[in-house]
Amino acid sequence: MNAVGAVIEDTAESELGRALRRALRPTSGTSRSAVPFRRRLDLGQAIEDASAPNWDGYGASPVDEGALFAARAFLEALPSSWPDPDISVDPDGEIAFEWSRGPLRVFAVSVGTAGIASYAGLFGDSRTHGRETRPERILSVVASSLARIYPQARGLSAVS
Amino acid sequence: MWRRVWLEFTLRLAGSPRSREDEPLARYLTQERLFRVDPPQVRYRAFMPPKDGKTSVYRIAGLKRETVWRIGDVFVAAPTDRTILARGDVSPAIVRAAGLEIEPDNRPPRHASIVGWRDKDWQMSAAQLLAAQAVLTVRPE
Repeated sequence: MNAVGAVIEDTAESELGRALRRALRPTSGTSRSAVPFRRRLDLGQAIEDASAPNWDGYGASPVDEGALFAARAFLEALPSSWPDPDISVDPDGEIAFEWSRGPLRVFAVSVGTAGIASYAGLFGDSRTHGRETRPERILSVVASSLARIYPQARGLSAVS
Repeated sequence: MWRRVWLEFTLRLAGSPRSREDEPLARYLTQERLFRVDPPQVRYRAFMPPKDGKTSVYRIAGLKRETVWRIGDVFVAAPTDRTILARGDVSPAIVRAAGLEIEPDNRPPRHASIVGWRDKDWQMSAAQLLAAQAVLTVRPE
């Protein structure tokens, strides 16, 4: 196992993590697969960058453990054929996944300890934002939003 | 320490300009993942608030270019041993259009906070609006 994989795998999983993992299991018709190396690498790098308090110089909180498990569950559920997100840590310690094609084509999901996925998107003149407490709905929201950012991409309707 | 004392002294001596809706508010960036160079783009996360709900910015109107970067070096980067790589500038008009407010406190001099952030998803959406209109300036080599 590579170092990043070890970071993600070696920590004891919390009850929340298990719950999120179960809840984020892809719906039927979507194949479940291991998290692609690139995404695991990005998650590991984001965690490393935000592991200490005030990692941004503006008082940011370090990444919290619950967010790590939620993020892993999210990545496991995210089909590998979909565009790779940029992964980073928000100043509140949650982990964010962002897809962007310029400042006016952006969509992001943030997951944290509370088991809530917050999302927001900007698509030219229109915006969307909301929260999902039902994890099975998250992928559907992501799919429909990515279809607006990447209209040529295939397979985004797999869970929508 | 001396750099900070001296900078605070000179900035206080010069005073702060009167607030204007088009004055630039600088958000200094210490991480590459907070911006893109080509095409120029400030990422929305650059404006997300920490848990105290205050996004720290500096009012840089009327300052020399070198002084603008020095503020970032001394007040933002030095305390955490970081390097300022770039900054994203927005105006008060853009901030207010996103549903947010500005609270100048002048501690340190020229400092202000973007406040009024609501729930997390609202924060993300407002930050995306700020980022969409922010002007990226990458620090010269």
